[in-house]
Amino acid sequence: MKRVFKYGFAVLLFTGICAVECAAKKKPATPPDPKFMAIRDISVLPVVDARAGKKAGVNMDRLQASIVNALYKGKRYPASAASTSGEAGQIAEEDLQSALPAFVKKLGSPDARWVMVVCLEDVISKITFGSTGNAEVSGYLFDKDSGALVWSSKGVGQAGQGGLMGMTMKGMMKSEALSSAVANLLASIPARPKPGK
Amino acid sequence: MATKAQWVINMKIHSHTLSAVLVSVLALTPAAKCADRAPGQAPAAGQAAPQAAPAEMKLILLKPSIRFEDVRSTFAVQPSDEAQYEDLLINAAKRAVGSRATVLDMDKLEPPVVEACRQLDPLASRLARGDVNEEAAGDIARLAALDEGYAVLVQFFRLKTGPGRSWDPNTGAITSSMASTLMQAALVSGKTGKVIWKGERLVRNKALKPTNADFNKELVLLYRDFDIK
Repeated sequence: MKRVFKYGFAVLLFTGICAVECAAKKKPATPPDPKFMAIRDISVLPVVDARAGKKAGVNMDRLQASIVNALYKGKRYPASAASTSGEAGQIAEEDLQSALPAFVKKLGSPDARWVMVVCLEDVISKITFGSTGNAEVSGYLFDKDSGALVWSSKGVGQAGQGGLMGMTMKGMMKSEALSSAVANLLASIPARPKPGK
Repeated sequence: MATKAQWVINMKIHSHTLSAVLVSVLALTPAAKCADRAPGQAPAAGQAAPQAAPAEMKLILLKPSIRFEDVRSTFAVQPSDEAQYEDLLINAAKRAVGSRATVLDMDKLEPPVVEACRQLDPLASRLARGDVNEEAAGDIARLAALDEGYAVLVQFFRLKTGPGRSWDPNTGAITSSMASTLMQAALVSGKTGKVIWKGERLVRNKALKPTNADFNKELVLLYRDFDIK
């Protein structure tokens, strides 16, 4: 009986030490960035085609929808797709890189406050010994109230498969590279905490 | 009997008329196709059609706008061989213009002209692809107010570096290099503010070095159809 108590105590002590060590190793939860936590609804404008050279066919509406979906489901931000760029008209990437508050206020619908603009910089698929796809996107998030740039990032996506099987997969390389580029682009936006947490 | 003969005659007349119409339509189609196309490069959708160059053109060759980027970052990269790229771009432009127009030396221009050209420098990347926005149109109009014969040749060069090609022997996954080289140039008339000529070369999967033979080859191709008429 004594021996059982001794072993039981030893096991308990060992478990306790392990638990304390694990708790110490756990990262303390970083407080969410108030700049991002203040966001209520992101209006995602139609994707800007900033590509040079020969342009491959891309469904821009689907790309815009995938960005909205990634923001809403992946990052828990309320987001919606805007049908027009608003008063700003046709947007060039140079306008976004050095956007003045006067220009920012023209983006999207007048009632939208947080506006996201995504530029498609390149997307291509090609056949080698197999097939590959490359995609490049850049994104900008503006606060129309202050006219400031809240966030900007770039995302690249690479896809590919070698061999004869890979050659037959050329058709899906563009979309695969694009979805990977969108995921990489939005990776730097902090996810909002789950409701109730 | 008489009506039948008349019917046959009528049919013959109709068929002859029809063949004449068909022949003339077929003959005119290639001519119409040729008339649609401007000499050299076809204008891109959404862009203004190339305009005729002024009779006495004084061409100002702006300092090329050069940008080096990493595809994964929003920050520009500072390379050591920027001057080399610049020299090659300027020389290629001068070679392309040749004796077609007088290329003015930026150092010998009068201060108001230099000032007007300096205003165009930040807009070079836009102008080089033939996108003349309101701001650029205003600056070009200021230049034209000094002399209507002025035209600006704008060049933009962008070199992107990024993840290279790869092969994973375990999964068979392969990737292509994300590097690219872009060269754009446009000739904009001061008088009309319209694009007279524009050219573009995009080399994917390669970041061309100034010493690379392909770099010079691409420059030649960029100005292959350069024309000011």
